[in-house]
Amino acid sequence: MAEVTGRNTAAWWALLLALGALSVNFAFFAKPPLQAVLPWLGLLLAVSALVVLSMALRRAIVHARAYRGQWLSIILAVLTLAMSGMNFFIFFHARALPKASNAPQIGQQAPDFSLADTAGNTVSLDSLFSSSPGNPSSPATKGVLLIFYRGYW
Amino acid sequence: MAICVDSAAVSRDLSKKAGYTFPILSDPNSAVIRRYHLLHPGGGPDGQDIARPAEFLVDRDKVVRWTNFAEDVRVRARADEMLAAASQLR
Repeated sequence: MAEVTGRNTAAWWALLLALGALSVNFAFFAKPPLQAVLPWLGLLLAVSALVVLSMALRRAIVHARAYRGQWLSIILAVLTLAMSGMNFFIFFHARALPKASNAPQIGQQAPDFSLADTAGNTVSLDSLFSSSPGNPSSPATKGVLLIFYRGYW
Repeated sequence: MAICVDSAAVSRDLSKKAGYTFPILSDPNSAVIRRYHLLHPGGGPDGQDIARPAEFLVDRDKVVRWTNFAEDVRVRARADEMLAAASQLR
């Protein structure tokens, strides 16, 4: 019969990794320069959490006699699984965007448009480049930045 | 210049809360969003059609000079990237 050798620390490490994976999602709000690697960092942490979790579960179930806190390990395992699962969901949901391969590319002509702004004025691409009638001294518009966004909710 | 499917009232609310000074245009029928091939069918919170995130810098000849198409909704163009692209325009 095996002696009790210690705590199942792997269960805590798995939980910590899953927490780290979830917390990466908050880092996006700071828009760090390396933001493009953050989704992959989150995914890596979530996968690592599952790897360490499998180790922790082996200790808790197969080698139960060698480790104390079997039930605690299982509770931590459920939490780790839930948080990792949430992170996988966020990862795939956030990237479920249609391709933009037919959108105007560099060097191509930007399609014209005519839409209402929040004051009800009609704004077209042409009108943005034409000099403002009330202020002839204002410098000519060199460019227009078009930002298509999903909406406010 | 920002474009989305929201009504003017929703965009006014956003501008006020966020302190935006640039204009926001409403494309409620996603006509322009379709013209730019940026429709995300059913992508909205209530399953409505919306625009996928995309940014274009257009010069005086209406030629696209810089683009950014997000692959992840969490990763959007940063202001310094857009300003750097704009500073390249003559």
